[in-house]
Amino acid sequence: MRNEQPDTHDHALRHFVQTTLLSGRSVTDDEELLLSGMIDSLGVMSLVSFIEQTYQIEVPFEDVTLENMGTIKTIMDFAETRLKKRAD
Amino acid sequence: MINPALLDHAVRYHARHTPDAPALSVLGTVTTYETLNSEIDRIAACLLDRGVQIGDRIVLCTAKGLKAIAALHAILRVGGVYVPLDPTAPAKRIAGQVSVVSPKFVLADTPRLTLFAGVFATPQLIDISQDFPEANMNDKMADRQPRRSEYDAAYILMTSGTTGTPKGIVHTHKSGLAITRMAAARCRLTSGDRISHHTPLHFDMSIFDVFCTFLSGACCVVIPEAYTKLPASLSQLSEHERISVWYSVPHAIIQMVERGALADRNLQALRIVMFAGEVMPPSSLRSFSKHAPNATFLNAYGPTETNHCTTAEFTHADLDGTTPLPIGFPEQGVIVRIGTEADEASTGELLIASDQVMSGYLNAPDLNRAAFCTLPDESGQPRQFYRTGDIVRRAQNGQLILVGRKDRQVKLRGYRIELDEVELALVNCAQITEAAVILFEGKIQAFATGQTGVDLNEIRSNLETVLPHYAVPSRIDLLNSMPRTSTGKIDRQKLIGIANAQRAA
Repeated sequence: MRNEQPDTHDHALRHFVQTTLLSGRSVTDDEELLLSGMIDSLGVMSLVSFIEQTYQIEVPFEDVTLENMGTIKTIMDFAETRLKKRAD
Repeated sequence: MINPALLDHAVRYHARHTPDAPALSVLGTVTTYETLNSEIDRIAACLLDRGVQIGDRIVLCTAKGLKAIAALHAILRVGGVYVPLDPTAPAKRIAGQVSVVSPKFVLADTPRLTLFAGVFATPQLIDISQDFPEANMNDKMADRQPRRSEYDAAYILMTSGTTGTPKGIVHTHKSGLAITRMAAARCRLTSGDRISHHTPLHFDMSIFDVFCTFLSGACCVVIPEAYTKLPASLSQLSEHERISVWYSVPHAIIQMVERGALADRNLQALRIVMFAGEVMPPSSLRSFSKHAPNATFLNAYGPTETNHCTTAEFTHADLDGTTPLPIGFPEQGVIVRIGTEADEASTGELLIASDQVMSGYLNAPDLNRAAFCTLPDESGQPRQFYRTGDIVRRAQNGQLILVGRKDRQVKLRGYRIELDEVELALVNCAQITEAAVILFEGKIQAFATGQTGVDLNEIRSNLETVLPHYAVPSRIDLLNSMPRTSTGKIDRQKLIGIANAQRAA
């Protein structure tokens, strides 16, 4: 069975946010993504489907909130929690 | 309701009479009228120090919030004209707008200030994110107030029109107050209301959020930009802030219906849900209405040149989820007529005469000549009418129905086609939520969003029953979501880009 390291997922997430969503601007894990004005609602939706595919988790609408999607760090924490929940 | 002489007077009035009343709430942090008024004075003092004169045009480019609202009032208080620009716009677009407006100063938050650094000298740039020092305004302002008049320009809103060249729409204190008084009365606003501030300041619907709220002594609930992109957070904020009057583009409401987790929300505080700027899909409004049991629903219509000037009002019982929403009846103080002929046409261009109408486009005499015409009103008196460019017809019950844009009428193989009519036919299909139609390389191409598993053949057969054969799109594409402009409207330029990409592929 193929078992990718979570680190690889996080790396892919950083890469996706910086290259695809922010057109090459670099951001730290703690930087507020949605206040920058550079990500529109289409961007949020592509971010959500990227998270679903990369981490192989489902992201229900009610979880697409500022607490969960605000920064790269909160997204990583959210994905980890969802993965754990699935493992239980 | 108070009767201020100038747009910026309401905040000072309430700061004197109800200093502790909440003027602003940003994610639960409340600013009272007294505190807001002092912040306005501090920024105004800084503007006077920099040498702002009455009539100076001043760019305001910032995220929403306390500072943004204080800054626009400060500009007005010293007799300036505020020109709000889209804080998310690319530098090139901003440069184009700046060259049309030729502002004397720029007020921006720290992240936005760099956009202007190359073009303006440092004394012309003011960072509103800073802490402004305490100011005693009485002496400095005393000689300025008597020289101000309701005929002074108050704000200029930029639009890009069909040619892409920016136009500045100039509103005076008089036209701005006419809009503000009308809309506040229409919504029966009181000091107990909590009013959403969803619209960015460069879009005319924000005039309601800011000035109607303060005219009524109510509380302006700021919705930070990030929340407008996260429907589940947006609906949560509406619940937590107990918003009683909601005003936004339909898109925000559609998003909450589709992804806003509304089943988990309590929106009982909503007593008015008002929307404008685009066509609201009847099915989305009906779905939303089920979560807003105490609300009345208002479809507001009006171009930026006149702002909100007709309204259709709906109760829950009126919303069947399929009938397209009319734009309703002209508001108090608004005279409408259809077409320029002596006998009113049944279908034609909507013309508007009102104190709400702009004073004109900035430095554009040709545009102004084309925009206005003088015609007799109902009593035969000659009046100046603004030509909206929107085609309307009157329903049997007298309500106005928007048919489409004059400039959205295309000719194809000799046939005249209203692209808006094609869009309406698409939206009327049960499975379709939103639709946009463009003319691309001599063919009508449609883009639509809707339920998963939409049957395009069925849609096409549907269209063939309501549209003439030449108006049925030659291609229909389903999108996950519509591309949007910064004001939340469907971005048709981006759709042309998608069509181009499809052809290249």
